[in-house]
Amino acid sequence: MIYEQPKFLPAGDRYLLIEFGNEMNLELNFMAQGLAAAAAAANIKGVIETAPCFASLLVHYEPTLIGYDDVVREFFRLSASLGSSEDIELESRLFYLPTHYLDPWTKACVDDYCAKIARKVPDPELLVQENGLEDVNHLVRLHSSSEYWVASLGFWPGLPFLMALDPRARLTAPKYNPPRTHTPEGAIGLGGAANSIYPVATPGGYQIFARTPVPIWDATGKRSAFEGSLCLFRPGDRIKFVPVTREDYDAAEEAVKEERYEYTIVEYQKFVVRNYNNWVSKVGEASNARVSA
Amino acid sequence: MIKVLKAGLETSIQDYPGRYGYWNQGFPPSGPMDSWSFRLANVLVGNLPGAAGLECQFLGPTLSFDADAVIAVTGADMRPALDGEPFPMWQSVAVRAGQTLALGAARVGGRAYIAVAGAFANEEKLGSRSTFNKAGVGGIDGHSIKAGQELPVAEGGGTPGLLVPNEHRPDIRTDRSWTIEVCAGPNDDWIDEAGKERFLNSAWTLSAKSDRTGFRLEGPEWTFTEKAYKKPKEHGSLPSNIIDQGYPMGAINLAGQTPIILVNDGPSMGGFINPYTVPSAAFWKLGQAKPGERLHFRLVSVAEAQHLAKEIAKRCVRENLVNA
Amino acid sequence: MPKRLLAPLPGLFYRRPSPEEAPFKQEGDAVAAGETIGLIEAMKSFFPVEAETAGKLARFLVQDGETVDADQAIAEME
Repeated sequence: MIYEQPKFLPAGDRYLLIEFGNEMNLELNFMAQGLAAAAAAANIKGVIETAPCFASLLVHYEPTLIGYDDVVREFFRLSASLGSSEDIELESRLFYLPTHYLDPWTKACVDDYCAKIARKVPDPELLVQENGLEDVNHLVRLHSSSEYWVASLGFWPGLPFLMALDPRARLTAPKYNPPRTHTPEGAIGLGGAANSIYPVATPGGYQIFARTPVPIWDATGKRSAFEGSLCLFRPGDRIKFVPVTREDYDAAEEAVKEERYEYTIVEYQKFVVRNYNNWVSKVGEASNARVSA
Repeated sequence: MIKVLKAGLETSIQDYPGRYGYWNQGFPPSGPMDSWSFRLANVLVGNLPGAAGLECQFLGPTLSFDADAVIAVTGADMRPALDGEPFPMWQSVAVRAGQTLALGAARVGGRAYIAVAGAFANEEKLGSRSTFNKAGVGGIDGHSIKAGQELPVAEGGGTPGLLVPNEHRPDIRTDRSWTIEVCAGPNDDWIDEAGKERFLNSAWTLSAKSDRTGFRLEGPEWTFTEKAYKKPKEHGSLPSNIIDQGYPMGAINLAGQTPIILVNDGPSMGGFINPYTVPSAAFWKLGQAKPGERLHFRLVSVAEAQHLAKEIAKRCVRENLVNA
Repeated sequence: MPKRLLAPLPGLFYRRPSPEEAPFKQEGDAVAAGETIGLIEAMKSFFPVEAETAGKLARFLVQDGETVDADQAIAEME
């Protein structure tokens, strides 16, 4: 459900958690991000930072500058002034990421897991089975057809939790049990209803079926596309996976190595929730963009 | 420049309060776990309380100074020695070029802090010099210090012979038992009354599988309210599963039945409930607790927790120092 | 005077490399200089407790899995 009023939950002496509902629903994330953007614009004294998640917003404040009751009051006021979630408009960059689907590296990783840890249906085939698709080519067509919404980042710094914006491209998958001890850097995967890209080689539990040669993590902090951070994405960005051949993948990888790769980023668009919802109803799905995990 | 002869156990450069402003991209604040001792070390050598210093964990480093410096060692007692002679803690001391400071294993407490006048001058990453070891961010080349490295130090004055009187130091205990303040929430309504009572009235053992990302606790079972069972399936299958949410630093994060206190290098989000949160004023105790020691939790209000933090900050000022 | 092996740092003491394996040493075993007689766990890492000199491990002074302080005597050597 979506709560009528957000819930304000204290979290120690310097944090406040604001919950908008208790389900996986893009609308709740739009509310969290809308409130985060409003708070940043309001520049409230003593509010250090906010972090949106799927259905909630964490607020970090400095108690010597603002008391708990005042933080609650400010965020209650901001949240009321946002009006309906339909009215939310968010700055949203769009990233085009070259993506080699059904690549040899994630395949080798899955084969290794099957050989050493547990037998399982290979990840792309499992996604085909779980979602009633025709075959792995259908999976590639469907997965690459949608834009993906960066709902939040975490688990590893810069690791995005992505929701398919096109309801027709919403796939689900169980997570690995037990998890993998290793995932190739740049692997693209799906677990529950969330997609992700692995910024570095880490353990993981998502079904993996594609890889991008383009870094989304850079500890040197010197890539201009990262805008001073060590990771590429921020909440509210969108990602489009562009299927490329092995040759194109290798060429992009080479360009990255030689520091001449240029990211394709569209920065002139706003994400308008009302327009999005209208489009979702047009494409024939539930207008509240509900997804099931 | 200070040369690292022995690194100790994940000795790292930290500043206070650390790396703020990147929580929404998943970067934790890092910073010293016992910021009370840390700030006092800096104040002793004339630095700002939050300037970059060294955090030593359980087993300290051996450092050699290639220039004269004023330094201070605070926090856990690691039997510091300068050229083999006992080195006084909680004091600013002049060391000469060529001298060697050696810290051993922690006898009382878990973490010691070394500040040097002028402070460490490693490169800032995302606005902080703090080390986030796991992801290779900050510190020296992204990690804790290693033998053979040279740690850059900025020019600084510093007055030797200053001392922190006992009443302004944290009371680092020797009896293996700690009372840690907690605030209720954000997800305390997922735990039933019996579960809450059990949490607050039990002795929890700090596991050796604890580090700067999380402090794992061993103790009794948790029991839940209906909320933990009657929930949409996207929350997950365990009673303690919730739709991924932001984690406050200090969260007592219930991964299944195991509570893990999320500390300075902890995750920013995840899919488990946080029924209680350890406020910042109690973090120095976490920093000084050792594996196998007992933690008891004491419920305080948000206002009380904020007051305690202010009281600690008041102690970490130059005016409280006396001549040694 | 028997020689005592001391804990190199505070943590949890283990006599086995892992719960499924046999202890490094039994009481009465001969021990070579530098040989590992147990492990101390702290911060998700394991640190060996090593004999400084060769001799016989007379007896353990702490139990498997027990908490130890830095420099606490762990075993007696003869």
